[in-house]
Amino acid sequence: MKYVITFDSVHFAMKAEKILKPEGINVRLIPTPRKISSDCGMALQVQPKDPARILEILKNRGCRTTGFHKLAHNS
Amino acid sequence: MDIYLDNAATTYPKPDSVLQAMEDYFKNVGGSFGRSAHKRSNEASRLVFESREEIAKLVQAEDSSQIIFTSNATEGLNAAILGILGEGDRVVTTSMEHNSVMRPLRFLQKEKGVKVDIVKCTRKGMLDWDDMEKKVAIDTQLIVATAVSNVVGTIMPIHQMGMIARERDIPFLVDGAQAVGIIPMDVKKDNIDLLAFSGHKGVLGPQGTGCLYIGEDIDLRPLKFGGTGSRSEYEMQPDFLPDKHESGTPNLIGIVGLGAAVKFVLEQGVENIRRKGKELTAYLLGKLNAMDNLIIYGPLNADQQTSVISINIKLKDSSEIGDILDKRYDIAVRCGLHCAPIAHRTIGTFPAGTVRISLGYFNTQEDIDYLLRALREIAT
Repeated sequence: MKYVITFDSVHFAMKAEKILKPEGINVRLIPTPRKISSDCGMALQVQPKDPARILEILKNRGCRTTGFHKLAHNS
Repeated sequence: MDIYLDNAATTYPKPDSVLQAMEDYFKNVGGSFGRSAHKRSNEASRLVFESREEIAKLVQAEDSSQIIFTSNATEGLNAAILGILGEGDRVVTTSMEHNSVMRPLRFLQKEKGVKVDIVKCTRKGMLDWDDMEKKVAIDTQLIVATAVSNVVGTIMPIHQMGMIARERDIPFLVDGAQAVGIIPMDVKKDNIDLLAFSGHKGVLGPQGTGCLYIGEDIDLRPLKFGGTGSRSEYEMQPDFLPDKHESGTPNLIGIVGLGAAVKFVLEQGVENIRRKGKELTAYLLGKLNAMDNLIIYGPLNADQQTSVISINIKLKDSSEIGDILDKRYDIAVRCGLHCAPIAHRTIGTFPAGTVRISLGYFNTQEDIDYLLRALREIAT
């Protein structure tokens, strides 16, 4: 299952990427899908086994997020 | 021999890694930051993020989103001063400030009736603490002070000023142009709410770069408004850091170079940089003190100042000395008034000015000995 994490600023998208990569989480920077939000033009696509853990890691490291969206299978 | 002793204006040379990082960005990356999400843009965004992280370490900021990129210290000081002070407000500053503080303050005084209270400093450029306590009033909205004088290198009592500011709940803005990368700076320990500094002086980065640190509780009106790559459906400026204060495409190549420069400074260690600067300054001051026909301004004590030293030779024009040093000896110094008329009035060198010798991280004792030989010849 793919998820998209959104941020208010690209600063936090970069921060999230830097935090999550060493945790062995597969991350990919993508242009924020228009139907989700346009907070910041860049979002992070992740494919976690445990989605709740990702949000917890980011929160604990002071990385501000604005949304966590499940992507439909065909998207 | 060709010797550069004008490091308070801008440092030279820079570490090789600075130009390498800039060249790599320019040739191999090239994208904008925070706007698109293709590979080149993502890489540029990563580089900007890394640069911000390094700078946060350098000044001990809690979070790197509190670091705003500016074009120089002046822009940061303007953003802070114009963003906080309004109609009829009261501000406290010192008589050792650079015009990058005095001019925005005098502008606000004229245009908005801002009351500017100036704390006296001694002829050696040291703060009069009794006057400081007297000038900080109940309705003071901002205290702004330089951390290090750009004319005589005096290290100002920033820590004590920060304590007064915290006790009385007044925002504290520090001009760190001559301090960051030269002496250890810690925004949290010193209760600094706003710290403006340039990237091209002690930090050893390229010109056209600077930073403004903005503390957690500070709500600043932006100096400029525009595109940020975020909240693009709204016509109102975002209210979160760093986007709130970073409209328009920034000086990306400069920011990349700045990141490499800060990395170099952190690898050397600011404590070590300070120790080396202090040793050379003590050596130079000792030798200058023993020379005839020379006037030295400032604390004359390497513990109380950085490697910025102002002198004059009796009965000689400071610009003539600067010219002889350049033409005859290939020594670069700055002469005249150093964009700080109030500081020159304080130390008694207005309007004549001084010859300012400012050492950098790459200067050696050999450079100083050569300067001393030249000064001896000119003075006799």
